[in-house]
Amino acid sequence: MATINTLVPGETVTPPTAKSPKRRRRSGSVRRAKFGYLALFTGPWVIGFMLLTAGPLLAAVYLSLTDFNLLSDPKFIGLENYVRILTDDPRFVKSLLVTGTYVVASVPLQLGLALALALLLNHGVRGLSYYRALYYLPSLIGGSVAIGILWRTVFGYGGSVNQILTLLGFENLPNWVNNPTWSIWTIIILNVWTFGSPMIIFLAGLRQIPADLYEQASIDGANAMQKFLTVTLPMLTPLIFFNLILQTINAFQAFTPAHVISSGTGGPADSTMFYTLYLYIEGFTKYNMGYASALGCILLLLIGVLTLLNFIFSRFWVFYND
Amino acid sequence: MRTLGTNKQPGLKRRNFLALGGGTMAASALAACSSGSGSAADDEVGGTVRFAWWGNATRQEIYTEFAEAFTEVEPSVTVQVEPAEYSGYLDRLAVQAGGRDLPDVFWLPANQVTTFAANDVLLDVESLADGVLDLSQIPSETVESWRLDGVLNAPVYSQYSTAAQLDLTALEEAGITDIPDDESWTWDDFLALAGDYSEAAGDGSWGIANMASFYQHAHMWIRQNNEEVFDADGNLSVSPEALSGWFELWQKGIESGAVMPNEITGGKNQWTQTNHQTAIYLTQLNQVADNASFSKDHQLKLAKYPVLPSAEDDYQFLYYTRIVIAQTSKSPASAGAFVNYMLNDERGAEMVGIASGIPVNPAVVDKIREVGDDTDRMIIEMQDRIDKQPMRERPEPPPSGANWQSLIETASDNIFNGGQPVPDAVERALSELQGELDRG
Repeated sequence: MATINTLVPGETVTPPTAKSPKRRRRSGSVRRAKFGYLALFTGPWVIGFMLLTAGPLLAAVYLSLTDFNLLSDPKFIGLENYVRILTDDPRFVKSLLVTGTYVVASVPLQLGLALALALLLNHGVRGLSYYRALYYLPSLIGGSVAIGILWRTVFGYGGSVNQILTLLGFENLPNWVNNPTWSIWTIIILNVWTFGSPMIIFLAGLRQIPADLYEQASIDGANAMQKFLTVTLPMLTPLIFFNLILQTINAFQAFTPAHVISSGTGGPADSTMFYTLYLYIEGFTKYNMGYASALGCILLLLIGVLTLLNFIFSRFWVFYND
Repeated sequence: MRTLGTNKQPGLKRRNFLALGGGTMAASALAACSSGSGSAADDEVGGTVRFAWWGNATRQEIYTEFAEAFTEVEPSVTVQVEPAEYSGYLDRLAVQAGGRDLPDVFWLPANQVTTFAANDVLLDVESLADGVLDLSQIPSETVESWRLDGVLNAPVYSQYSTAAQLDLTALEEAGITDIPDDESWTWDDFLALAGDYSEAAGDGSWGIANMASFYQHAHMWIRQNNEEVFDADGNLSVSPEALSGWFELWQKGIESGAVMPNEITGGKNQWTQTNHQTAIYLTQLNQVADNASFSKDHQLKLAKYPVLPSAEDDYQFLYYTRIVIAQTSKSPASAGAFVNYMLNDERGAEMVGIASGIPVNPAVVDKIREVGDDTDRMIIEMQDRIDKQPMRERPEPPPSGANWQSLIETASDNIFNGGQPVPDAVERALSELQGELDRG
């Protein structure tokens, strides 16, 4: 029968100096049992990681060094794909610019809106759980094909947006999704709309800020804005940083809205040629899977470098309450 | 009393932050799927045949029923259907090809056929056992024209030409009854008719939507310029002038008010998408049945294509939908028997009709004349008229030129949405295409 050894408060444990063979056997079986638990609990993740992440990643790195058209075996061509991408591919540059614009515009707007609404909801709104669910919903469905189609209709020539603007007296309104100047903004608005996920995280963070900090600030005569700037914002910086990292990575991988809204072309006039869409066109429309793999590897590297830079610069503005 | 300043506050710690990151990482779900054909010996008919094709919901339904009826012919064979919309279809084929998991039998569009053939993934149907696939009812010169590099690995399932489609109901309502003779009308006549309709029908209506991005119609224009997109050796042979002329035609139409601009269509310029805001459409004959079904209350009429005065008489062409058997098929005999059924069984006349173009088997076409509806007969009649014209050869695009269709779309997009000058957009499209051909 197994016994449970308990440690009485104040009691000290003296480590054994010389292990008896029996004790060695026992510690060996404990180690084995621990390893068993380790394997049991981490095994599914490790297997999933190897099969679904590491394996495809390594395969993509290899394929990026090949000429692979999906229909026949890959042919090794060294760094040719990378050389072409970096020296002779205007669409690569265009897709980087489009994606960069999207990331730079949509992530701050989304986080700003998420924070604003989290602050609003943190003030004891009646029916908070209802609002939380309502605001979170777009995060779940925003990236779907259905919403992409809806967006195309809403921002189309005769869509709801133009109907409302016409009622407000605006004239000569464009077809927003079909206009090279405005089309990317319809997709940026879509991403901003999916603010629910960072909002929930901000809301949780706001609940963690100790009330006594606000009490002290009040005693010191701080007004609401000063409290926000000197207490709320610094205490939230780890979460702002966390959301920034996550949403930046997500934004770089944006695909479905651009694919649906532009009917898979990246148009009009390449204005919605997101990096992932360009990668997809090369891989699945033109059957240049080797080239597409090289584009994928460059994207991975780009996201990795940007994330690293974010971490490096975080020491200047993120406040950890260690 | 609480002492301030020395105690750690319960805010977020660095360690917690990392834990939060780890905890928030989403776990991916593994969706493992497998499929495979039922096994049977090479010359033995039986098992499962996977069949893939493209089309809208109606066509998917029609062909599902037709495919399932194959069990009446071969009770030992089960057909597993894999339909899809056109764009999704090609993407899926690419993935299946990459995974060496192509369906046993599948349709291929004209633009992709040389790509698949060059990579040796298509079965030479002449390698099938005698009697499995009977092509004797189809004229031998037709069958010979299907060969790619001398190999019969991509039989044609259906074929179609292009024509103009006129909405007589809309035209008459606008007071236009004087339709030009389609044996002699020119593009100027065509734009004049479209312009008259725009003017007569008033706000919100145009003669025709901008169709500059439709590659098959651009192809027709190129052939009327007595040129071809690719020559027989797979080299790019269209001149910038001919292609520019195509886009300039539509520009002229938009400027004159005859053509609905892209701002309005928003890229939705197919007949079934413009919601009767237009009266004229350039159509592939395999789309007319869908168009007629969409416009049940309108009388549609087919007319021959408008012509450039300088065009030689042999500009007409046929586009093909190919039906192929994958080299990887585990039961080529069953796949061959199914292709035979698709090509020759007269049940197709009633169950399928001309849902995807004119069948290649004249007996099936004759049967459609008997049992088909007015739309079917109108389509066949137009194809018969077109077939009376001589047709010079239309080489299939070479493997690395399969993408020329999307380059026409991109050029059109750059011109009509992006405001790029026509010569610049054409030069970019042709140089991109040449680049792809050079890379092979």
